[in-house]
Amino acid sequence: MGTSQLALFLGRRLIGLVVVLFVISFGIFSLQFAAPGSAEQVLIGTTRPGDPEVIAAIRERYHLDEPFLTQYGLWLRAAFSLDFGVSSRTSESVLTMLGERVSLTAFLGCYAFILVLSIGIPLGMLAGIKKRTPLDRAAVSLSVLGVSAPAFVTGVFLLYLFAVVFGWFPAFGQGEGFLDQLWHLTLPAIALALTGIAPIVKFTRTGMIQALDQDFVVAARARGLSRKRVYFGYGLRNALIPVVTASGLILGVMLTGAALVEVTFALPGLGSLLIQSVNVQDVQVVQGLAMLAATLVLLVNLLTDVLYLFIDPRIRFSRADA
Amino acid sequence: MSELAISRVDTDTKVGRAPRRKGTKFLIWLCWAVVFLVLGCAILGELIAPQSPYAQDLVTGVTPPSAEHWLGTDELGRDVFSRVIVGARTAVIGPLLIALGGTLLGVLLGLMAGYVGGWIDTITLRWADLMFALPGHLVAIVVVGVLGGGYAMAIVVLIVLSSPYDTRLMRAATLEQRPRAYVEAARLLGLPGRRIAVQHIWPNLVPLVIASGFLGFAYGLLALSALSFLGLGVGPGTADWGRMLAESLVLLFQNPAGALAPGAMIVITAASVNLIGDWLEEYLSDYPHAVILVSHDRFFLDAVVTRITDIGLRKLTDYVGNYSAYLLERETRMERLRQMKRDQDDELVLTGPLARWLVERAEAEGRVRPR
Repeated sequence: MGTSQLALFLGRRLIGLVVVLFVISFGIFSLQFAAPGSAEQVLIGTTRPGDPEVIAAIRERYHLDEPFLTQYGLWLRAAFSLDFGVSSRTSESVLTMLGERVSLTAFLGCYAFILVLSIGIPLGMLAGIKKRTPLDRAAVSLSVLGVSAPAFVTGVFLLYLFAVVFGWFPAFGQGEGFLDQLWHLTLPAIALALTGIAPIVKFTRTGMIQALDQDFVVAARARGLSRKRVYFGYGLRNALIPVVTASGLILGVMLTGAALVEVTFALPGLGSLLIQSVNVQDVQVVQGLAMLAATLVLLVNLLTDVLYLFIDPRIRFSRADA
Repeated sequence: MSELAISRVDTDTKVGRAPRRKGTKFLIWLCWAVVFLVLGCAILGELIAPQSPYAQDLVTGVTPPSAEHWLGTDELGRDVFSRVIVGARTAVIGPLLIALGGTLLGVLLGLMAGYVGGWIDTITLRWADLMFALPGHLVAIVVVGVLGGGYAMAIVVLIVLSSPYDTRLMRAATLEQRPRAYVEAARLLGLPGRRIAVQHIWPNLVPLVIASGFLGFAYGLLALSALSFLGLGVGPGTADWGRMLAESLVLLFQNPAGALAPGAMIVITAASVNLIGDWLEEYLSDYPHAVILVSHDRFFLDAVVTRITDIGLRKLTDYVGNYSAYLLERETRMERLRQMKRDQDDELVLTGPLARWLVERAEAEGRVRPR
């Protein structure tokens, strides 16, 4: 595939992404009308007084006197410049609230993601190579358990075991400075990682088994290539393709997991902000968070498609004549 | 020729499958035991709970496990053990509805998309793609949280969110069945598409659907308990595993059993249902003791069949020989029929105008009343 074709492919994907984002943003915008009560009541929230002046200000601020589609257009334009209005709970700007909390969630997410990759892929690989041995069975059981255990349950068990019984890790708080934060966020990151590891182990294992079954692996072995070369260069390279495809799915699982873990460990991140806002129907904050999550998920999906091209040259060449 | 390739793939996967081991069987029995235990608790509930799950005892408050309260008490002095038993109810009803509703919706859409094809297929597939791209539980949190409606709303939202799994599964499976001979035979008979999809393709997909129903149940259980944990599912105070976990979280130092027991129940139940789903899929798709056998595997049929009865064109026709011989014989017979039809049509072209002219003349002369 030449550069022009790559550009064409990317362009097409980007247009698709924008279209989907439009559809989703419309749904997110509609939340303020779908919520019980009139739009102005929803936007005022439960904590602010419902005086006529306040209502008038709200109608003015959110353009409620305009036609529906104009309202959507104005909302979308504001959202494009990251302006989601003011939280009805705290009267703070939504953007400021997100900004204050994004670092914690990002830290937690990256920590967990590193754990997922550094444990999940080697484990899946080993299980695939040592098919039908106790090690393989242990890895498979772990992945069944991981799929069946929601992040908040693993979180509670870790909290009990390592914070209450052994007292190795703190039970709450987020810590100051990098190392302290690392120490404080270890249990939450493990809880979050366990939900992401399960699908990674499963996909890597199946991919590895299938790859090692191929004729080219037999040929490579017959030529006397080292095990390391066969397992990494021939096995893992092919096994990783389904793993990359599944990464969008894994991101989704981990986003939800982050919300559950933050609530479990009482961490002030974006996830717990979502839950707080949802419980008091703070629609503006929910809209901001939902747009953020949707954009993130769609971007990762796009990235997956591009990565896919680079990992698997066969796709590049087969798409070339399409 | 396409059928040949499919049969090859089928045999290959069967050879590669591991022989079933004794250990697996024991584990599956254990899983069934867990499922029936949870079902029993859900049905009997208060009848088998040693104490009332809602009776408060504010004087006692939180206590660790004791002889009287096996799993201790929660903040309001309620017996945790009894609440875990009664909590099975919301853990069964909701996921059951989600599994049934999601499967039904997914199967209908998938069958339609796979069989009809065209723009219906495209739209269904795009919809499923969109649903897949969105993190399902997060959408459920936002929608249920903003719209309200608690447990019932959560069930409805999760039915919609879980259906794309079945839609994709069914679509792929339907597409795989579509080119097969029995579907073609049914089309040749002139059966309507709806009937072919429901009566002919659907029975072949049942094992897949049952297995995916179990997986749907586990999905529903995890999603619902997460929503309840976040305070969006069942109302406050309800004996529900997710809710209990949330309420006992701050009491982890005083009575850890209050949070650990419902958490363990969620994991054990979900894991059992997941394992049964996986096992069932494998078990139903290659049951070894078949007496009556439905097979679309050409090699297999060629090897065992000596006589074939074909139902076609509203007639039973007997063929002697194996499947390949039958296909050849049937094709020559169909060709003969087609030739006959062509001859008849040709004749009609010649004799038609004459016949019409005769009828018209007869009518005009008043000898025959118009029909």
